[in-house]
Amino acid sequence: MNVEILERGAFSSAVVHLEPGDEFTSEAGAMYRASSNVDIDVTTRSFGKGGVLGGLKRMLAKESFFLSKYRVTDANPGEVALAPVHVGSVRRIDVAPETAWICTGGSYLGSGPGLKIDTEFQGLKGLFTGESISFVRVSGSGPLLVSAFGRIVEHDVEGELIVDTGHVVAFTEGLNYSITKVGASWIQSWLAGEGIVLRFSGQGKILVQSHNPSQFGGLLGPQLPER
Amino acid sequence: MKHEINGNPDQGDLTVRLEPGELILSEAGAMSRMSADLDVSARLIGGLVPAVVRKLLGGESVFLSEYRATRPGFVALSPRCPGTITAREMTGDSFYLTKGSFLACTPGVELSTRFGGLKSLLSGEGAFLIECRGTGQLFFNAYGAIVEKDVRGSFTVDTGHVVAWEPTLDYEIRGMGGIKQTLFSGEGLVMAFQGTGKLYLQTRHLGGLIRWLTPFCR
Amino acid sequence: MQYEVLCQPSFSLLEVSLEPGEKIVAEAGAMAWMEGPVKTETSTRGGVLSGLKRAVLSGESFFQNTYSAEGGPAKLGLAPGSAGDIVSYELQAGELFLERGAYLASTEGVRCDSKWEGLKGLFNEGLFILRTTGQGLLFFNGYGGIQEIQVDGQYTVDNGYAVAWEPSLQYRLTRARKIRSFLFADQLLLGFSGTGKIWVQSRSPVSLANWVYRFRPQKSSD
Repeated sequence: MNVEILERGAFSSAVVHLEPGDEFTSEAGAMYRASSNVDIDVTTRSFGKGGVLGGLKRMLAKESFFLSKYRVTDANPGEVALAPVHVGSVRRIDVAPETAWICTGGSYLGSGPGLKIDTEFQGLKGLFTGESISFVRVSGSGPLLVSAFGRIVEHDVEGELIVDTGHVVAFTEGLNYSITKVGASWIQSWLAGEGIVLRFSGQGKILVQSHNPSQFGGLLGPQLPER
Repeated sequence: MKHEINGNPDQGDLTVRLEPGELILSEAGAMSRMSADLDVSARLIGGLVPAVVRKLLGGESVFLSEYRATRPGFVALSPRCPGTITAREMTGDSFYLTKGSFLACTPGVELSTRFGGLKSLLSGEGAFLIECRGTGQLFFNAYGAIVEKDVRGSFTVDTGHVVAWEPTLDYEIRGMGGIKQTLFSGEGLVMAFQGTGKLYLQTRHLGGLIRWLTPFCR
Repeated sequence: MQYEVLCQPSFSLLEVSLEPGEKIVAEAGAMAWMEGPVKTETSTRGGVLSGLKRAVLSGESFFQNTYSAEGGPAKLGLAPGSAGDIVSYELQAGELFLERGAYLASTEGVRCDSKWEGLKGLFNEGLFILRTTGQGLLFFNGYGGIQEIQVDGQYTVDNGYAVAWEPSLQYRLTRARKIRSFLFADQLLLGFSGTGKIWVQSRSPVSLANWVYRFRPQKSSD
C-alpha cells in the first residue's frame, strides 16, 4: 500500500495505491476516482452516539462522521483518489504508537488499517457545548491523511500558543489545552470577532490551517436557498 | 515590526512579528494563531456614518481588532476567502478598498468608511468602502488572484470583482443596461471607472460562488 | 479572436480580446470586467418570462449572454463562479459533454443543449449534462485542478467530479456497490466505458453543497 499526495496549487488530493489484501479507510464521499476493481464498503459512525446513525450527512446539525473502507476485489493492484471538500492542502501524518493525535472531524480525510479512529473521544466534549466542531482521536500506527481549508502550518509548541478553534487541524495528545478569551474581557473578545480560542501549552506538535471553514460557511450559507 | 505573507497567490495569510510597544490593527476575526501574551482589544472604525447605521445597512462587523505586544510576539491573520494578500506602503497618500478586502494595517494608516454610492445599497455587495489614508503598511486581500490594471480612460468592472483603486480614478455605479438586463443577464451592478490610475481586481467573488453552487443545493 | 487564461491554476480567469464585430458567448454572470465598446445581449433559452424565475431557482435553466465589440476593439474578462482552472477545447464539427456548471464561454458556432440525467430513488441525485456541438472554441472550468485522463476500457468517477467527456465514451450512473447503510445515498458514481478523454476535477460541488447545508438559513415554520 502506498499513499501519494498530489499537489495542485490549492487543490491537493491523495492517491492510495492498493495491493490485493490492502485496506484503507476514508471519510465517506471523499473518493473522487478509482480503478474499477476497488470495492467501497460504507459504515456509518456518529459523534456521541454508538453504532449506526442513519440519515444523511447534510441533515445533521453537527458535523457528521461517516467512513468508507476500500479494498481491491481481484488479484490486480488498484487505486483510490481522495479529495477534501475545500480549497486547500492535504498532509500525511505518520502516526506512531507512542503518540496519538487529536484531529478535528472536518479535517480527517483518511487513514491506514493500523489506525484506530475513536469518535467517542470525550476529551474536548465539555469545552464545546453548542459548538458544531467535533474531534476524533487517532491512535496506533500508520498513515493519517488530514486536509485543510487553505494551507497547513506546523507549530512545535514549546510554551504557549493561542489558536482560533476554527483553524485547528490536528495536534498531538499530551498537549494541554483550554478555552480562553482573547483580550481583557469576553465582550472585548466577541467584539474583536474572536469567539472561542484555544490556549495550548506544554510540548507537542499542532497543525493549523490558514483559513477558517466555519467562518467561510457563515459567509456563504446565509446567501444560499433556505433548507 | 516585521511581516511575512505566505501562501500567495492561492491561500495567502499574513504573519506579523511585534516588538514591545508595537501594535497592528486587523479586520475583526482574522486571527488564526498568536503568541499568548499579546493584548487584544476591539476598536471602532471611524467614519461619517454612525456605527449603528453602518451595522444595520452593511451587516458587517464595524469593529477592528487591535493587537499590542508587551513582549516580542506574533499574530497570524487570514482573510475569510482564500486568495492573494498584497502589502502596500502608504506614504501619506490615500487608497480605497471595498469592504471585504481590508485585512490589516499599522496605526499610522487611518481608516474611515464611506458610502459607496446610493445604488450600491441595492447591489448586495455592501454599501461601504474603506478609505485608507496615512503612513505605514496596509494589507489587503482578494478572493482568488489579483489582477492589476493601469487604467487610462475607462474601464468597467462587475462590483464583486473590485478590490481596490487609487483615488485618481472616478467611478459611477450602474446596472448593465436596463432592468431586464440586470435581472437576467446574471450580472449584478458594475462600477464604470474613469481616469488614470491603478485598479486592483480579483478573479472570484462570493456572488459568483453562490450562483454556481445554488443549483446543487437541494 | 485572441484569448488568454490568466492566474492559473487555482483561480483562473479568461481574458478575451475582440476585434470590431467579433463576438463571444458566455454563461450569464461570468462577466468580470470589460474595456472598450462592448454590447451585451441576453438570450433566454426558450421559455416565457414568467417561467424563468422557477427555472432559475431549480437550476434547470441555462442562460447565456453574447458580447460583441462595437466600432472598436474590446477586452472582456470572464470568471467562473468556483475556484479552479479553465480549459479551452476546439470543437470541430464534433461534440463534447459537460457537467452543466462547467460551461464558461464559447464562440458563436457552438450550440448548447441542457438535459437532466438522474437515478430514481429516495433522493434526486444526478446531474445536468450540457451537450455542446458545432464548430468553434469552447471554454470550460472546474472546481479544483482539472486533470485530463485518456480512458481505454473502464473508469469510475464520483458524480460530483466529472467535468467533461468525449462522446465516444459511454456513461452510466450507478451507486457504490456494497452499501451497508441503506440510507447512505451519497456515493453516486459515473462509470465510463470505451475509448476517449475525460476531464476530472479534484473537488466536488456536491460535497461542498452537502457541507454548507448546516449554514443555510432555515425555513421559518409559521
